[in-house]
Amino acid sequence: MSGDAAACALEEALAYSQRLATGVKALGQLGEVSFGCSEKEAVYAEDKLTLYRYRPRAAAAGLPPVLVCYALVNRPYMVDLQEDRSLVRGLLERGLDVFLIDWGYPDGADRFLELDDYVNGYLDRCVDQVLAASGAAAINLLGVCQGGTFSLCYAALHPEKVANLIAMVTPVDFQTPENLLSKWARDLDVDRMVDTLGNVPGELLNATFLALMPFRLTSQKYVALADIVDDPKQLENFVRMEKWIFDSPDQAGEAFRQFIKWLFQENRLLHGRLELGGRRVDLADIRCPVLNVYATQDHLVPPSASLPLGRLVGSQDYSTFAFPGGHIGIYVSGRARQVPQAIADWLASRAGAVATG
Amino acid sequence: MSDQDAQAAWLAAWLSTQRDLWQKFAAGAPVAPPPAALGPQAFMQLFGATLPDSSRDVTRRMMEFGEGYLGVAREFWKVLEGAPKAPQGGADLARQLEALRGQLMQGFSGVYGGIAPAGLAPGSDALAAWSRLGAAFMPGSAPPEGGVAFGPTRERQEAIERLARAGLRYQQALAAFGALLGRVSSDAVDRLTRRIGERAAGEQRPESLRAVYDLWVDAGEEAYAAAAHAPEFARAQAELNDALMDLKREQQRQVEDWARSLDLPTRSEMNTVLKRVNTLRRRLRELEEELEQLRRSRQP
Repeated sequence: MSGDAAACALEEALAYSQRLATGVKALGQLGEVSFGCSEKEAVYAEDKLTLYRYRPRAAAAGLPPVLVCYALVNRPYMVDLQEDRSLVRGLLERGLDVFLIDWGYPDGADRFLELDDYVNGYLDRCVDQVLAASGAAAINLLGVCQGGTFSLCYAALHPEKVANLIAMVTPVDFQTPENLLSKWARDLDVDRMVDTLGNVPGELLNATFLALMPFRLTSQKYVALADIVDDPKQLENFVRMEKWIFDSPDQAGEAFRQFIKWLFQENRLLHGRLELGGRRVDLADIRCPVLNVYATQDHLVPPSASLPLGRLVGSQDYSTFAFPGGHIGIYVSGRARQVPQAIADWLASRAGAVATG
Repeated sequence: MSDQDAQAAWLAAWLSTQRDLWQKFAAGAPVAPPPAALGPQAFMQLFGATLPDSSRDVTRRMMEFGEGYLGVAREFWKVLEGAPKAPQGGADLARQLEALRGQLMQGFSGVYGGIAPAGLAPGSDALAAWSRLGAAFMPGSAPPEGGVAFGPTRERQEAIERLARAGLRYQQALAAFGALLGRVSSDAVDRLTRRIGERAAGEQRPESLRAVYDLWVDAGEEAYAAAAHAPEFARAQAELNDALMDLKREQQRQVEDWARSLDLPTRSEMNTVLKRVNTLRRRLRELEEELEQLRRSRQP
């Protein structure tokens, strides 16, 4: 290396050290970062679950209420993270009446909860609450990720209560070749795991998600953090996302066992062999309009895992919306604003078909 | 001295150490790793409680990975130094790249005691999570070899042996998984060297430590993806899981025996009660629904 190049590299290393020190100081001065931006009130609670209704932010669009059913593996405030990054706010601003299920943090008392309890129990009672509170005859169900899989099951088993179904980054085929999580899950002795651990620690699941792309999702992200330490707004956004990423509830053991075994290992939903509460979940029983929102660069739920839905549902009104981004970017990237607009437009265009009660 | 002043003084000392270290390194002098008292762990012990809750973990990770990056950057310096300088091909380029590869391999293993740099190793977070889960249950010693349990404490001796064997199996599984990740790092070095060779051929030498690091990340993700999609990887992970579960189960058995001997409630008893409660709750809901249907059917 020439003397100049060596001097440049030395300068670069020292500048990075300085930025790291600046970053530590800036993080200390940032103050507590808040999560969730839209006003809401709890309208129903049961065990660890809370059902929220958001306060309106625009004149009512006159559409059935939207119930957001989020996954169990992370916290649902991702859909309302901050003012400029909120799926919920986007829907509220378009006049929709939005409800959200917060599953809470399961503990040892919840270890024997089954998928049936979540879908035919909690979710069904939340739907009844939404129907009662809104006076609607049926709801618009918006399922996200694992919550999307729950919503598919629910819509198939309780079609009379779902006017329109939106599945967002939702796995249907759990065994596509590029699905790394699925490859790992298939070798897992989940019986031994759940029989031993009871509930499955969120920390372990989280580490598994990060291990899907360890260089980028761990090392590179924090090295690059030094680039934004002079921008409090960006730093705050980073901290908020980090809080969400690592805020991982433990998973109720039995539901985890069933999800891994029945879906990842046996792909029962795809093959029409999933049974919940003694009833077969046949996606062909979903005859309401369906919007499948998937992310083209999703490494957790690849498009190939979501797209088979189209040939499985019985609906004659099936649409897709391809979001150009990843599993997280669909909520928080600059382009994420497209998503509530697309959902609201899609719902509005189907308004005539549904009585709003 | 206020917390803020103390933190500022610590950061100034850390910066000064980094400056000395890099200046020595640039001058070709031997470099010792920074003292533990000026490392991320020490910082968090001293000042972690003064940080906002929401920033605490981010601060720790930024420091750990940032310092890891600075450590690896000294190896990347060699890349800037040793990358072929002009478009060339044939034996010269191959020789230079092989020398660079050798330097990187040696550098990583010399500085970090393993080919996977601390904090920058692929899957190190997952490995740490497994280790934390295992740590609480690790027996203190290896299983006694060839010993036969006898006497009034025979059952107790056998239980301790089972626990020790499970602990050994877990440690072996952890080591095997770690070795697999080590091979990923080694493959990543190969891929990085090849990328630098391709760039040299196209007159696109990396011009900064950060540019080399970004190349390293690309090479690392490629190497990791190649390994992680293979059945061997899933099997190694599964064995780690199984070994850990067996270890934990042995520990649970011992705790349950102990609790039963003192007439304390056990997890098994709790499970039985919880299952009964769940069954009762489901039955109650079914009855409520039946009642509701009956009520509706009687309405005019």
